[in-house]
Amino acid sequence: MENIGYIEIIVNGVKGKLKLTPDTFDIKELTEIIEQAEKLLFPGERKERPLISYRMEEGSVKNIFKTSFQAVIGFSAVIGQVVTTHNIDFLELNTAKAFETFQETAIKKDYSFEIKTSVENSPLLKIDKSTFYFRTSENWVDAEFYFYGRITNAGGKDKVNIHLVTEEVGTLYIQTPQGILENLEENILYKNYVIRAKGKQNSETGEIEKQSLSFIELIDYNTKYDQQYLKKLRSKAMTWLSKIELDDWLKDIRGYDA
Amino acid sequence: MPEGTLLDTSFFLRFLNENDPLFDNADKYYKYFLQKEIKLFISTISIAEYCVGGTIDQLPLRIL
Repeated sequence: MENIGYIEIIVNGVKGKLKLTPDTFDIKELTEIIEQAEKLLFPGERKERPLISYRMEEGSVKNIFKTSFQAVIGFSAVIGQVVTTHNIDFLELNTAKAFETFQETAIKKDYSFEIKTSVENSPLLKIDKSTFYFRTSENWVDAEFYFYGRITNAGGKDKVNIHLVTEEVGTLYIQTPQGILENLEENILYKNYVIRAKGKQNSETGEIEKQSLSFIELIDYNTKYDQQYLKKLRSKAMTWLSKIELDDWLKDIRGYDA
Repeated sequence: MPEGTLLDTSFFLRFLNENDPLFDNADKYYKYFLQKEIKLFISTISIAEYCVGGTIDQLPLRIL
């Protein structure tokens, strides 16, 4: 068996009076398809993904993406599940968003998309204006996060943001008010910080919608033993700690029998 | 869940009280964690317990 497979995204529709063909398919629409195809196949970190090559054919516009057969088999199972359940809530965020983008275009431009793979008896997913492939929004709730990482970039002309490289969730782009960056007293680049941010989180899977993050607070994560800082805390804490018998106090608040 | 050490209420009670017999142990553990760059965590339960007697601004949140 060849270790290369493909997915096929067929776009049908009309543009004014012209039927969609490779000659009437704008490069902007093509860019969109290519971008979404990458997200469908590799929703996670895409830096180390296998090669995806592309070919366009007539009929109306047939977009063919060749890549590793393993990825294609996985994707075939995904569309099988989507076709059966008519639901995209179970998908990883990027894949779900890609399906939503196709659905939005289908409604806006009255196109229809047919997605299938080279796997034998591949399911065929059809998206047009009569279908409804959108996530159920109630799964996405407002949440607050603390991200620990290294700041590698901060600024921007219109979309001001901070790039924070974290070990747990990769690189985050956190929208930040310009005033915050203007008023920073010290250089924050290439230093470790904690950023408190708000955004959307899936209440079922815990997944974070990375594009939705906005800045709340920058917290200095000082990993040096800061004698002065601890001295201040200790003197405040001693106002009550000196008055209690520690073990009894703990047992008392935890409801143990003395 | 990221790797690190979860510090509980009794750790903070001893770490913040220099007169506690176990203060020295807590302080040394803390220095060890910093030296080894082990991330430190506190749970909301511990914060709630601590705040029965103290206040949140007494906890070393800057390093947690």
